[in-house]
Amino acid sequence: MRLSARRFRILLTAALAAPGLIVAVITGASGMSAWIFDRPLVLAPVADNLAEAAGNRDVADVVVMSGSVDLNHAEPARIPLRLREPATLTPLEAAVISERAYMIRLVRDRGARLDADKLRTLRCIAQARKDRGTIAYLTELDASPLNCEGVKAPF
Amino acid sequence: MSFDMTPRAAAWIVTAFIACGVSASVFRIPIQVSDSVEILEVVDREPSVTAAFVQGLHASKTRLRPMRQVGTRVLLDVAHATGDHYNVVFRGFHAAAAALLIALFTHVARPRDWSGTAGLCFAMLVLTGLHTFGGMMREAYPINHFLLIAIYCLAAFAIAESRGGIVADFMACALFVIASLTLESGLVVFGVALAAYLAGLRGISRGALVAMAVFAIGYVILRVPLLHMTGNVVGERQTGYGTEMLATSELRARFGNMPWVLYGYTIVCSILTVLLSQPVAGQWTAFAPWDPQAPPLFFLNDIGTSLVATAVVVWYLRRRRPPDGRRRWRDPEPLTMLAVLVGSAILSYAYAKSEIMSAAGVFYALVVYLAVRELLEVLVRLKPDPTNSVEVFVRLKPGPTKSVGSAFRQTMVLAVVLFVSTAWAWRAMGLQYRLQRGAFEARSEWVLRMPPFSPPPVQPAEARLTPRLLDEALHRGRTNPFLLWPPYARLWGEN
Repeated sequence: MRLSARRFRILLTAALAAPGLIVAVITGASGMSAWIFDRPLVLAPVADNLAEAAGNRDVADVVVMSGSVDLNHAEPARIPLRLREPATLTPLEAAVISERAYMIRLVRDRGARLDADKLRTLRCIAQARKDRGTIAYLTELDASPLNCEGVKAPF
Repeated sequence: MSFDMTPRAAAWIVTAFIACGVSASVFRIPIQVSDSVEILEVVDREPSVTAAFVQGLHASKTRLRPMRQVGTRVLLDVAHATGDHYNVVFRGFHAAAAALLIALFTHVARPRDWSGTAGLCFAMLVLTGLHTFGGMMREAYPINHFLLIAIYCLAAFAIAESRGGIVADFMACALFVIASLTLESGLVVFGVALAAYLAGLRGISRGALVAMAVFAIGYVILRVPLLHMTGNVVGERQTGYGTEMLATSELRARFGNMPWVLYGYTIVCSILTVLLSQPVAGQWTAFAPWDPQAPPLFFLNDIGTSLVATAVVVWYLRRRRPPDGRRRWRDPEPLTMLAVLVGSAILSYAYAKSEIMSAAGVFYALVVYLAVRELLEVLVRLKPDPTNSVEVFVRLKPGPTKSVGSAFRQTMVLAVVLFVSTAWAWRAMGLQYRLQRGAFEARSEWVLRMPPFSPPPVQPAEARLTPRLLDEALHRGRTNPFLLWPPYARLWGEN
């Protein structure tokens, strides 16, 4: 059915304007939330815990959070770039899964303990992920032959 | 319930929402380590604004940008006077400037009816969705001078549209002087004034144009005989060529003997980047080998939407306006856009950078607004105009034109308009993603670009502001784009 000129004009104007209006409302509301609560409503997720920060390359959050939490405590962490499901990880394990050697170094510098058993676990995780950067970094800490039998990957 | 909101009021509400969204995200980005900390520390040691200006005159052999130091010094003084809240002052200034640019855009566009308001909604998506706009928002040095240049250009155009007078002339000249001493691309303010005058606007008088020309000559005298400055040469900064990004040494090796090839390529690419969203910084990223893990939907959307918008602009520029039959390209906004586009590209001859083209991107969006508004009126009539080429957009097959208004064609027109507008909306949302990512990266820099991961940006003995800046940066703008699922980043062209 052919639309009348008036109705067509209204629909055409709406088709042109609607996406812009939607973007304006979404970003405007998000912006107001950011101004008032320092928390945008869209596209700005934050890490819930230290492991999640370490797993998602968030060095700044690791520095801020490490002052007030236990760096050896395992917590549920979402790492969408690396894991399909959330996993319970220590910050060091999450750092290895992030595939960023600087993150492992930072978590250690902030006080995470790394004994021989733990180091073996981390090396096995890095090996499983086949990430050359983290493998090389951990090999610098322990270059002995790696045996991953009995080591259960936390993901 | 009655609905008696005027189109003008609706346009300003949309403007306020967009400005709020953009400025809030800009405000959350911490002051960066790169390009910011060093200049902050240097300028803070200057005893006065005048000393900062003089320091800026001699800071480089190729860049005359003393207003950068002046602006930084003024904001530092404000920060010191308000309890050393550097991020609040600098990021607040950036956010306010972003909001001002968006408000100026609507002021210049002046939507008067619902077609105009709808066109403005679309043009806002083009304005904020263009990659040249993101460059003005995401980074600061520590003030984003490309954003200031875009504001000066729009303000000069708004003055040209005004009734004029001595105050208008003085303001226009002051804008030109400040802009040209802020960045080399600030010289395009003169281009704006000249193009507006040639197109018939008289808000800036001929006398003011002459004064600007004198100031421009003074600028050259200051640069060359007085300060012995040179222009940029090949290999001063990396720039794209073809599908590659060439390092400075590669540029010297390849173009040292024939710099004009690179200059010509860079100028043309700078124009194309506004019209097609490619190449980016001279590099045809869309044609580089694709990552099989990340399908190039982003390129398809960016190039496709830009092609449509540019096609509408070209259609509009070729049309004749009703009263006197003059081609639209000779109207003030289009002529000014062409002047800023070409002028900015020429000033970008030695290396391509999206930010240098940001003022041109703003005027491009302004012309898109005018073109879309007119296209809307033409489509509503759905009658072919023998003097114009609108049928390209509405005629689906050759044949008698009386069927242009059929139900099928009406539906197709509605679907195409909604599709294109939605695709631009996706690009505009990408700006929000990039700004949040910018906050994440700027925050991360305060760890990874500091000891023990990197040498300090300023020697500890000279770092008076750095500890405070570090503390502020770590405690603001928390966000982590890697937590988003699905990985939107790939759809907006980032890893």
